[in-house]
Amino acid sequence: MSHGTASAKVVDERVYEVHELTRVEGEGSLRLRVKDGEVVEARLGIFETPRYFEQLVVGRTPDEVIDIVARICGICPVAYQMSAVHGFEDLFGVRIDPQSRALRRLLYCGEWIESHSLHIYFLHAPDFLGYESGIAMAADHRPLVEQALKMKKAGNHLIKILGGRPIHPVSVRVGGWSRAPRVSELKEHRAALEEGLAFALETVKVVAGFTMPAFAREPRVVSLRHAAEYPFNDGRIVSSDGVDLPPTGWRDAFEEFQVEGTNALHARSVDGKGVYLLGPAARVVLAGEQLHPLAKEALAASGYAELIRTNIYASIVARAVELVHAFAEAIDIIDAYRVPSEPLVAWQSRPGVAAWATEAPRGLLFHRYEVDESGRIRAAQIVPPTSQNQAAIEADLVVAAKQVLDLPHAEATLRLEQMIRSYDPCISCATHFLDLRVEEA
Amino acid sequence: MTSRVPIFVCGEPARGDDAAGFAAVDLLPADVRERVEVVPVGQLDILFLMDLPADAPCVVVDAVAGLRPGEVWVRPLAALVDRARALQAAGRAPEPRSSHELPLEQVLALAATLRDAPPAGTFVGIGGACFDVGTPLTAPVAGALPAFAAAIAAEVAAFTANDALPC
Repeated sequence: MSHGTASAKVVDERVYEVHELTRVEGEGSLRLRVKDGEVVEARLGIFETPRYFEQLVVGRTPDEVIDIVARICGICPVAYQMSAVHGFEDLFGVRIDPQSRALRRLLYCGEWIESHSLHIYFLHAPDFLGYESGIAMAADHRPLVEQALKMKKAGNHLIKILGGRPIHPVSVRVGGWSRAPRVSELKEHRAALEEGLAFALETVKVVAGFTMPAFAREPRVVSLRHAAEYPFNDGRIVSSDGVDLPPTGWRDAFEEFQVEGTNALHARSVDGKGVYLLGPAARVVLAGEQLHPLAKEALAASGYAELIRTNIYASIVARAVELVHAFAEAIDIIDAYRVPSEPLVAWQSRPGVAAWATEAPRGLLFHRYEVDESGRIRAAQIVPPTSQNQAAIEADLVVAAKQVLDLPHAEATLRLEQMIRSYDPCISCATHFLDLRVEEA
Repeated sequence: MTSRVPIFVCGEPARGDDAAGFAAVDLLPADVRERVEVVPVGQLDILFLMDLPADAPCVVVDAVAGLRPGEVWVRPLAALVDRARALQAAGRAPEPRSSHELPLEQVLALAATLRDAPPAGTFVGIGGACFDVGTPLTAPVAGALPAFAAAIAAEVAAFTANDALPC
């Protein structure tokens, strides 16, 4: 509703208020205010109680840290373990067996598979297919849901083989592994991965067939990039505008800062270059040349190679392409696997700073630990991708808001929800993301 | 040879009465234990149900909020599916307890959709009073554990009445 003023000037102000965001890394809210067609406020508030993991690890040993930080997330525990273990090994000068390194990539494949298949089919596809949830979608698209469950199971089982259990694995250690799998254990899982690869290739075709809402911007993207492999747990931190740092160097280009009204820290460039986007779309843009040939081929056939960069809704295609990559690389690793001659390399603690970035399913995850003379943690900093993406989400809401103002309320609501889901904010199986209320002044 | 009846034990052993399911299966007599496979699941995942052969019964065990503490509650899984679907039809989906999990009824309903029929089996619950981290079982729940275990055992006995012992 519009109202007039004494001077007869008409002011059109709309407030989109979201009280409970789920499926983010915590619980949050959104407030979007549009005045005369211009967004004057776009705010993502995270109100979940802080979880204090950076303090929980203080006084702990590196191996304890690896198991503790895994508990930050039930979907991407491997990412937290990988950033921590690589940081410690870099500080302590540990060189692990090449097969141990390959197994860590395999573990990451398992995590990407279970995370991406969950998000594509249960959290995001219902938006495109017109369902309120994956459960509702299952009645009409049973084969899709079944194949999603099979893929997720294949990923979780891979984590179980390597890490002892499908969620929160426990075998990653500084120096390698507490237990390396037998060749036969991995070979037995190969058929499920082959089946999953076929499903993943089909998934790219399915999501490329979705109608993408119009959306265009030129984001600044950041990810790891490696000369010889698609980035999981190694490579340099690069951006679309020239950042090029070792995986230890995140703080040379970025910083966290507190924003009023949210319990999650935001992140920004120290040089004032503004917000940046992490995640599958960023990785495909910056490191696409290292995708597995099957994934590269699927991306080209999808026709989305360019749109992935400019249209956030198309991130579902990037995620599907990475699903292909993860299955294909997992099979390759298993085919080449032999048990490491030294699964757990001896190491000696030394004081200093352990820092590393790896690629969680949702994007770059940076850890930094100060280790004291007794080998215990003195201070910790953990910078998850979802918190780094908060500012980009807010920026994209500004873009999306302008495109939904003329839509009916329900459609506008769905479109904004869909946009935020494109970021795959960490975790959750809930159906509704946003409880959007439109107030027209 | 017959296969064992899976008992999916939901809950969290460190959270007060949420440990009731784990405590109850520990009380199962030996002749029952040899007919079951105890699967601690924390929360029931759809994948557990998808792996079950058609018509193979299972028992799902959990503590329940909203019942009188210590009250034992037994329902066919199909009844929980009906309840979830009725709520869904009324526009009132079961409330998740957190944003990180799907309510048990919705998991069962999804399994029913994907399997063309509700999973065979029974839910055996017990009313809980306190689910705080680090707390023990409350007195009413601790006192009702034998009845809780007996209810679980009765379901297993019903499912295996005509079976020979598993090899």
